[in-house]
Amino acid sequence: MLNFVSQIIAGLLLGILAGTFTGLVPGIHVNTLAFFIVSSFTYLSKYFQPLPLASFIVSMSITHTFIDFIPSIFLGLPDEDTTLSILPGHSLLLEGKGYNAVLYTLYGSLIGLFVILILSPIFVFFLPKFYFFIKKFMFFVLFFVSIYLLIREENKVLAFIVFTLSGLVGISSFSLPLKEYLMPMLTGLFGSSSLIISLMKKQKIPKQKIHKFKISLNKKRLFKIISVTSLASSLCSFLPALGSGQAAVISSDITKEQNKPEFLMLIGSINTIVMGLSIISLYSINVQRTGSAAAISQILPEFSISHLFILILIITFSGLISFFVGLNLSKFFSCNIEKINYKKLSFCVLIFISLVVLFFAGSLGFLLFLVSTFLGLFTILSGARRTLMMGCLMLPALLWYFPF
Amino acid sequence: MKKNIEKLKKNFLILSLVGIFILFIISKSTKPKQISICDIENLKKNIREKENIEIQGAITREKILSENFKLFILKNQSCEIEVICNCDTSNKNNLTFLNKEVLIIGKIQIYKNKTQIQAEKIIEKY
Repeated sequence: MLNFVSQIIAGLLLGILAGTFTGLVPGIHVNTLAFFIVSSFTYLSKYFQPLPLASFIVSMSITHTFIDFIPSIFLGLPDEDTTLSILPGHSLLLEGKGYNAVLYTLYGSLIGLFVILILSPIFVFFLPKFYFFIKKFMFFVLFFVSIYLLIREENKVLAFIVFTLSGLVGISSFSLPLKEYLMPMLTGLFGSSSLIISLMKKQKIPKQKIHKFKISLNKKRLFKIISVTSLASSLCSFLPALGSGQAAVISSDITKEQNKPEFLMLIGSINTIVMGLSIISLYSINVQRTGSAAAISQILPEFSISHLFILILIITFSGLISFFVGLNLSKFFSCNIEKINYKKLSFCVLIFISLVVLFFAGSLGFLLFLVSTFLGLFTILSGARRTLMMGCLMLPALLWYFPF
Repeated sequence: MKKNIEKLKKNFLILSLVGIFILFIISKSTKPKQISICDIENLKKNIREKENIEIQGAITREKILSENFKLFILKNQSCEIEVICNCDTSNKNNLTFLNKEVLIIGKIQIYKNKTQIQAEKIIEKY
């Protein structure tokens, strides 16, 4: 058995490998691997102590937030956290600037890393009191966020239909006798539906070039984007049913008129901040807002400040290393993407994720996956914003917190 | 082309609605009965053997009975009931539900003239 420090380092490095895998392969989410760790804990605990296993999960989760924009931008395959990237990212891809699109998200994630370090003490010392206060009004907070997401849309009736139908999918799936319902539901809504749309389009990816990268933002504008993003992401990292998608919508509305690079940096940073702060929230207010946080709570039931300190170091190092991993992977994709038969690739990925759903969730889970896919297809073809489909989590949460 | 897209949209909407309806039927037919701890003695005669029930409360005590069994005391208002969980207890520190509000799905059983719940699922309520 390795000594403790070696186990932590092994957890960090293996986590980066795993996060790169989950980030690149659509349909495989960090939650799937995290819960595999939890269910194998009895066996794994013979060789690894709990903290290195938690380090693996944290490292994997942070790496995933850096890498998952690569398939989203190059292959048009977003998950629920990267769905907003698809239009600006794909637009840059069609201009031959796919590499630059990914780079903006990577720099955004890097900024997110520093935001996590700055906000951690605030989360540790002040969040418990704030959360105790806001918990009483949770229904109203979620209600107002839901209303905001609906009224900001041009076609409010369509937005209401998509949000409500997604909510009904979420409510029905929660009561199904399924151990794993989130994966088939979210994969159907955001993954397979996008793949099918890609198959329907006649699209050829133009030759990609690695353009000189520059960020031309004035300091005032950059400061505004970072501040608004930090606030929205912080709230969405501990409030129930809210995640990166909603944080991105709120932030982009407040900062207004972003160009594509600004928008991609914004959503890159949000993904990383929400994931990192969900781990801090687990310590400070004992809530599990992400699958990774839930898995860590099972492995480290007595989560101490020294555990938190080590996990913050893991967040930092995994993020820094993942940035360079992402840089190299995006160069590889950029040099090889036009050689790939896009339709064949989309088809293979669709079959793969369908098999993954069938394997992990069974035939009932596959039915849920199909229904979610149909709804996702309707949403995309109607032109409604895909983040409205997060009603699948928000509507059940509203019912859960309904105070009357 | 536009006509085709309109037709597809309509078809996907209909398929979604039909699918959601089917999911609700399945969930309703498999949804456990919700009962409160205080009513359990009165209602248990009406519950079929091996029928799943849903019960809420706060876990006020935990005890490890053996390698794979834990006993919880679940409390709601002024009533209490014992809950047996077939959980992995090899991690001695795995006291994850103590003092937390939970939703338990399980079956009623009688052990030494005491009504207990054999838990199949324990979900923490935030």
